[in-house]
Amino acid sequence: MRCVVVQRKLEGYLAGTLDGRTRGAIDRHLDTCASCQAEMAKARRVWECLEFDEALDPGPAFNRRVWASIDSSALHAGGSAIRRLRPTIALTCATAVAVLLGGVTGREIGRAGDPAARGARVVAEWPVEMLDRVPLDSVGGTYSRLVADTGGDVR
Amino acid sequence: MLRSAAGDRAAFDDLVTRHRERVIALARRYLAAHDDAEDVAQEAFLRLYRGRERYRADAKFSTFLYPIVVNLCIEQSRKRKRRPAAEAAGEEPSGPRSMEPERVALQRDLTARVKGALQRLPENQRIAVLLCRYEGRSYREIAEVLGCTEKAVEAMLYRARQTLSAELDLG
Repeated sequence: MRCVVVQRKLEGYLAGTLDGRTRGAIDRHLDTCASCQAEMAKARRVWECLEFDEALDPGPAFNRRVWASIDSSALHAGGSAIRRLRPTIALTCATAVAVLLGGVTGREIGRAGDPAARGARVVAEWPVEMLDRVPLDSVGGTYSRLVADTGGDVR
Repeated sequence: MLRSAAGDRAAFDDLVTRHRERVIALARRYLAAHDDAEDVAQEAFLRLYRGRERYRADAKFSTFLYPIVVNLCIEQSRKRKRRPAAEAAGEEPSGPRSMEPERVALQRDLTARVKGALQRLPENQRIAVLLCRYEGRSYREIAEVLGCTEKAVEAMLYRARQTLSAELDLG
């Protein structure tokens, strides 16, 4: 085993995490290599200096704080979901109310030349995404599709 | 962990009990601050709980937990200002309490210097040292936590050794 390989594995050697074969090879190398012996001595001094104990069990109070933060974050997550869905909920409710009351305001236009074929198109002053939710009984489909099919602005 | 993923709160509570001391100790060694370490540990368990359904049975639990702790330590370290080593060492005494006063003082001084030197290591080297020295992780396990190769871990530990040896004047 070469010196550069041995010297890079000394922490693993001291931690006892190397496999037996590698450990044995390092032992044999150290028997005969003064340079690596010096490096091992340095590694041991650093290793021993790092010996200070920071382990202190915080007890069951820590577990209570963990559960408090888990339960609190679950509560906030539910609230956030509702906030994100709010615009969609509002839009759906508004559309449902309008359809039920039949209170769509707008103007009806016919296309010059072939109103019967194309059917009556009711154009409201609502945004497209709301118009798409209103079924077009005369021609079927959606408002967006109708615009695409007629190739023009139906307003 | 699998039982936690299935909604067993008692199982997760047991996990917290078994691992809290080591997680806090790792965070405290990295951050050299007790309060920050407990906050980091608390957040780590919170994230662990949120991600419990992603846990695979073939994965080691430490491989699942340690990256969370390590990333939080790095985040926390970047957020706060670095404390002087003497202040960090003064937070709580270390070393056996049965030692004579002079030896206790010497021990504290060395501990403060070591903590300061650890704090000045680059992040990855610091984590590699802590995981190797205090958690007894293999090069492969450390590589998994850091998302690098084993050779890279070997190089990190080698460089950390040279730096610590020079800083602590160990020859």
